[in-house]
Amino acid sequence: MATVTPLSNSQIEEKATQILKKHGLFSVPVNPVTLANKLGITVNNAVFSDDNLSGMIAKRGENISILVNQSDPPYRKRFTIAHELGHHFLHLLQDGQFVDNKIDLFREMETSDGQKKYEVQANQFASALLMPSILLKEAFESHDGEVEYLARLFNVSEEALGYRLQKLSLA
Amino acid sequence: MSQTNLPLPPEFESLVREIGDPVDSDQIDLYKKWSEIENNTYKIKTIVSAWEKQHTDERVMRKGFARAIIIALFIQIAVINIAFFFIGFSLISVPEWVATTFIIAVFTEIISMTMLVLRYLFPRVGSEIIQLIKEFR
Repeated sequence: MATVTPLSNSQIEEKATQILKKHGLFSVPVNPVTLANKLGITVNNAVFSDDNLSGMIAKRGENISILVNQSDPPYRKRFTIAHELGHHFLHLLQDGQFVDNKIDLFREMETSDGQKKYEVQANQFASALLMPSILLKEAFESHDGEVEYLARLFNVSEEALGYRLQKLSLA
Repeated sequence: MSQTNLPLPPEFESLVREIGDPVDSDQIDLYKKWSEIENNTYKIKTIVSAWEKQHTDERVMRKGFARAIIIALFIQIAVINIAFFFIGFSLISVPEWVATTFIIAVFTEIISMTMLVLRYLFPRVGSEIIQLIKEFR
């Protein structure tokens, strides 16, 4: 596994936007499964031995697969897939794997722990992928910051949208 | 659920009990489902509000008719009573058959009008609206 690249928040945002634009997916709602499939990544439901696990990604050469907890609700699955794609784009430069539990998906504080840094970056990437700042700002202005509607539009939970709006200083 | 040929590293094997079907876009697309629900709800809301408006207007119209008919009935009752007493006290004189016919005709009219009001101005509420909602569900 590669070492954690010290990417800034804005670099991660930029990377997510570039990826969406490159694959013609820069519109709402962003579908992470479509993106994964376009990249040749298989995404499967799975039953994990520990129900606290939300997802995992494994890369073996050209074969890359993402597994998500089949009992998770759709919003969680979307975020998990986007999170695993974050590992794919930011951390899996060579063969490797990541296993993520529910706590990892809420991790947002910077930390000195290498593994946790991966998770923070993957979360930032997932947020930027599902709620691109440009599109979110436009929608926020045109819909008077109506959180319930925006959450539906971006296909994310109101909680995730709230975090994102705070991060973008819109709320 | 079926086991698929995924590049699972050995250390994952203990973590994964079963690998299921691929996640497709529809499974995680709540926006589409929300939109469908909203569209269906919108249709039902439109039907119900049109039904409500129609019934309110009809109720107002029926109320007007009912009031007019009741006033007409009271006038007729008053007229027949006055005529009855006038005939009784010989203030007016009409042939007996005319008086009898007149009184019977007016009472028949009162009963008919009452039946008309009850039958047509306050019909039994049907289940058409429920049927319509079921169709658009």
